[in-house]
Amino acid sequence: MTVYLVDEPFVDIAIAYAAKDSTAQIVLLQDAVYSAAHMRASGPVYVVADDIARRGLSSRMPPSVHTISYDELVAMMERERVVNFL
Amino acid sequence: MPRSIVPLSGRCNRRGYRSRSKAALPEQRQETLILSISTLRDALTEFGIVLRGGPYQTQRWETAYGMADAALKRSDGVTIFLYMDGVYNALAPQDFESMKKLPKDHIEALLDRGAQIFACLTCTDNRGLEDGRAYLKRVQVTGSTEAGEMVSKCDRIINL
Repeated sequence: MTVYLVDEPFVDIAIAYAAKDSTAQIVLLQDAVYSAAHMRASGPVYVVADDIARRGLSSRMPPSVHTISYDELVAMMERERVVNFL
Repeated sequence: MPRSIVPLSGRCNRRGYRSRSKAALPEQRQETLILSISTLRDALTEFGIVLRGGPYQTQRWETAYGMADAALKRSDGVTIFLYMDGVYNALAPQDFESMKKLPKDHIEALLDRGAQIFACLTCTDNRGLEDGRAYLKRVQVTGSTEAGEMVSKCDRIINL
């Protein structure tokens, strides 16, 4: 598995790369969470709870997007390969 | 006095383990203990965070803290390299009345918990920060070449 850490302005290119990776797990960070509502990714998509709370988006996340804490994000990064699009 | 320039060396996480006298333990117990410590070392992940963003204008410094805090809670190693505008995070004289936690407070808290924090010398001088004289005392100033060494030794790199 590969964790794609993604922020603006690299969302589109990150999704294009991740689309070619069947093991991709996309984590939208910071302003990239604004893209979560219209995200078309083949693999799982995650957002950090703190990022969506700061932007008032907690109730607007689609059910397909998983909300995680920093603790869970770090645990993911420990286990998997990490690619930066930040 | 200008701050000393500190070259990076060894693993990015230099946290040590307390050594005990081997004489006090039977041989088999010594082997078990050494194996356990070795396994523990292998299990820990070394996180390297390259922080390029300065304070306030973007969220990068807070994201860096969130990740570093979570990693330290899991007993992982954390090394932060302040690069480009990221060096401003290390300035000791910070004031922002309405903020409870300033970048310097986060840095101090991470240093207290064993993180290593370095600031790029070139970035420091480029911004007129005079070898980092105004940085928090425990932030070490080092060359960007050495940052490459840090990157190569960490298990995970986050480029913020």
